[in-house]
Amino acid sequence: MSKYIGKKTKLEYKKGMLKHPFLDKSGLVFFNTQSTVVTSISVNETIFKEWLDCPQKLRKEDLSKLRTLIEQGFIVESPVAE
Amino acid sequence: MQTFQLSLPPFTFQVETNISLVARNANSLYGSAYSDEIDPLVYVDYYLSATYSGGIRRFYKPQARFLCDEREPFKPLKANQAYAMLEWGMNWTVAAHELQYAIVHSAVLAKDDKAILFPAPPGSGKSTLTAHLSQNGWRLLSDEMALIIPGTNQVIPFVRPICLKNSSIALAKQWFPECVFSTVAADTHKGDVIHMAAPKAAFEQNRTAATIVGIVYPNYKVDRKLDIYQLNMTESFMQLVDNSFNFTAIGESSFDTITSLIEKTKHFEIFYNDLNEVDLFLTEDIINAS
Repeated sequence: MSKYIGKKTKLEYKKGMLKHPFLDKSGLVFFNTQSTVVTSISVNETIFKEWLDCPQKLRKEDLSKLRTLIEQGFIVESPVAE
Repeated sequence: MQTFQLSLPPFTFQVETNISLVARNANSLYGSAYSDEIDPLVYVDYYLSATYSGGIRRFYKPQARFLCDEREPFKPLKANQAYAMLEWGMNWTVAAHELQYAIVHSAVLAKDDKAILFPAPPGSGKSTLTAHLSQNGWRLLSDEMALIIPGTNQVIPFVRPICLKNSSIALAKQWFPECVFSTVAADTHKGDVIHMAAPKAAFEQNRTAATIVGIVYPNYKVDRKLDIYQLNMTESFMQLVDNSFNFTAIGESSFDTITSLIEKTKHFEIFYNDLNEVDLFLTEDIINAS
C-alpha cells in the first residue's frame, strides 16, 4: 500500500478547498485558496468518487494522481467505519 | 515637464513626462481620449510618469524611468523606448492593482457584441491577428487584457493601441497604410516594437460590454494551414488560469467566474498561417453558431 493511503481508509475532499466538476465530464479542477495551488484531474466526477471510496483498488498511475492531490491538500484520508 | 490625461474607460490615467516622444505618440495614438488640458474635477485612477533618468548619463546615454504612484516596477530603459515603456507600464498598473475584474492576458474582439478571447503567450501571433481582425469588421476591446466582470460572462473594453513586434511591423504598415503608428522602440527585450492605434469605432464603443462566447488559443506557424482542435473544459480552464493576471489574488470569486465562463463558451486551439481563414472560422463556427 502507498505511503499515504492505508488499507482501511477512504479519501474525501478536504474542507475549504474549492472544486468544480465540468459539465462535459472532462474532469475536475481544484483551487486551494490558502496555498493558491490550482490543479486538475481528467476524470469525470462519478469515477473520481469511486476512486475516493476505494483507493486500494486503483492502478499505480491513478493512485499516483491521488497522492499528488493529497500532497497538495485537496483530499485527505479518513478511516472507514468497521 | 508635460502632463496629460488619458481617458480610457474604465480607467483614467494622468501622465507626466519630459520626453517629447511620449506625449507626441500618446497624442497621435489616443486621439480624443488624450487631453493635455488637465481637468481637476476628473477622477484619476493612476498617476504615472515616464521621464529621463537623472544624472550625467542623461547626456551621453539617456534612459527613461516609469513610475506608477511613486513605484518603479521596471528598470530604466533606453530613452527611445520610453513610449513602449509607458504602454507596458499601463498594462502592469492595471494587472497589479485591479481586483474588481478577473483579468486574463488576452486579446478580445467582438462581432455583434459577441466576444472571443485570445489568450496567448508572446510569439503566438496574437497581436498580428488582433490587428487584422480589428481592421476587418471586428470590434477591438483589447489587445492585451480581458477585464471580465466577476460572476458573469461579460467582458468590458479597455481600448488601447495594438503592440506589434519585429516582422509584424512591416506587415501591418503594408496592410493598413492609413492607420496611425507610434515611433519604433528599437532593440527592446521583445525586439523592435511599435504601437498601432485602435480603430475609431473601438473608442466610440469603449463603454459597451460584450458577451464572451468563445475562447481561442492562437498559434501562428508559418508553414501550417489552419488546424483547429476543440479543447475540453478542463484543458481550457487550466490554460485560461495560466494566462490570468490575478486569479490567485481574487480567489474564490475568480474560480467561480472562470469555471462558469468555461461552461458557457466554446474552446479551440488553432494553428494557422492565413489570417483570412481564421476570420472565416471565427465568424462561422463561433460567432454565428452562438
